[in-house]
Amino acid sequence: MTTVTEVIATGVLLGLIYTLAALGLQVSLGVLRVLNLAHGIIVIAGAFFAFDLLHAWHITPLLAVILALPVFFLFGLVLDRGLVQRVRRVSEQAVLLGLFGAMILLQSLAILTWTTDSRSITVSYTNSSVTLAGVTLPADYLVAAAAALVILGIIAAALRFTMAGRAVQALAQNPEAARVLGVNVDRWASIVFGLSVAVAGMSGVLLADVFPFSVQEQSQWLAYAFIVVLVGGTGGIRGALVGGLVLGLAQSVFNQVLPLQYVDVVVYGLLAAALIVRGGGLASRRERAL
Amino acid sequence: MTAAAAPAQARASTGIRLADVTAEYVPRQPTLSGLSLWAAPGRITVILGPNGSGKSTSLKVMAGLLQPWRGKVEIVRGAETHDLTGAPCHDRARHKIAYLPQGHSVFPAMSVHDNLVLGAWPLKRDRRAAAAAIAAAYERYPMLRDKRRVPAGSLSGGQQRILEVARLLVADPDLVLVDEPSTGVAPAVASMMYVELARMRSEGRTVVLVDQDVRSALDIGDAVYTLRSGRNDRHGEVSEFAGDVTALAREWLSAGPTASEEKGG
Repeated sequence: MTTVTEVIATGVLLGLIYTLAALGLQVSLGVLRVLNLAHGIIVIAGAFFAFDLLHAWHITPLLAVILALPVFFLFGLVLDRGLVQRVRRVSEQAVLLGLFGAMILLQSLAILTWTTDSRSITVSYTNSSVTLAGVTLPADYLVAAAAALVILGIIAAALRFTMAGRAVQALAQNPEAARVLGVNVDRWASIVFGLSVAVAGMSGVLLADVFPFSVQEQSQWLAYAFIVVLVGGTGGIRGALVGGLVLGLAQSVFNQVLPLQYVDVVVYGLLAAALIVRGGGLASRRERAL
Repeated sequence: MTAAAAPAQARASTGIRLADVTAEYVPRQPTLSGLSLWAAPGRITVILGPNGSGKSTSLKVMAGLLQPWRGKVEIVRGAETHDLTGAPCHDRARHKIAYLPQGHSVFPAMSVHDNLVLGAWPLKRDRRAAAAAIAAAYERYPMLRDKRRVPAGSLSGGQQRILEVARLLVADPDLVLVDEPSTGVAPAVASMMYVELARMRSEGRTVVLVDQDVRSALDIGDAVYTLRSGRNDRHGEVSEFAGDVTALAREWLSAGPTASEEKGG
């Protein structure tokens, strides 16, 4: 029998994972006003990255998370310099279309590489559980959520306490003033985009630890990220946490009270409801705070 | 070299020149056509003109926010001349050029302190110098110290202007470009801004001031340029203009709508 405490604790763990999985989209939108439609496929690429490293070299997901940082950061830089910065001069719609194209292209490449089969990762703690103060929780959820929490903490501290973090905040709040003070805005925009892609890839590695995944599920991860941003706003990590926890708790609760096939309907209903409640769109101006 | 109050004689040597500058927002619709002006070291040079004459645009060209299509931007430091034409805006801070835009430019969700820390961006490799410069800013404006943890966006309009001035002084600029300091602020704040500009000059900084408030600008300025449709009109010492102020202002007011300057023409 699952207790209420267990449902809530599971929801919180899921929420932390969802927060990290949405953060890349939220950061590129909140800081750069770039809606990265390739976000979902990058998350899934992170999951396959974890799968391939595990099977080729027996590299565990927790090490793969660290390796994903430079690999996906470089990929983000290439995507930014090769596509986003170029089309950005044309118009905002051009960026959206360009990234939509990138998403389709990356999805095709991913299907060629990894096929459409669903995979899952089995490691030492898969299917085991941990009992803490009478609450039994799946170990894989705990590990992934703890890793997500560590990564979120590092990012939050870097944003707040380092010069680079302040530059990123300035970029989000008033890019022209930042430029005038001497911040090389174009370079920092590339770094931010690269990091947003890196975080998306890292979150994919953690997701692979917990859920089965396939290439075509990328649209689900993009939609989840939309939900998190719509609920929590674009105002930094605190906002992402609000959105992520709402999504995680909602899913965890509905999993108990509804037949499984309805859970997705309700979750996407949440997306629709959030869209209606927030008439201002994905990123309203007063929220570009970070 | 980083303390905010270096002696005037050690500094007063930086001037900026626009040479035959043509610049445009919209292709083939130049906002500035062949504009030339020289802001001499240690003085306040005032740029005046009717709405849409290109005053703010000329300042943006100096600040590197708009690249000239033709002509040159040069900074003169003693006997040396550096060509800044085509150099990106973020390089200006390294050249000790600061720009105070029209309206609010604080980072609203960041604390007052973090705003000042960003003012020290050019000093970021020298933590000690940055800390000293920020301490000097608090010394100069004690109000900011009391509000250091408050989000900048929650300050009053006048306090935000003080923060903007303090933030640009953290990098100890030799040249300060100021766009419309009195527009949209209370009269008390406006007069405070002119006091600050005079103080910058007394510290040996060079000031270029674009202003709608002709009388206040001439009260404080040393040299004057007037623009008309993006071209040079007249220039000279303030004393040569003093008698014409009323006539000039009246003429400009009747020359066009008083609403938003720039962009359009």
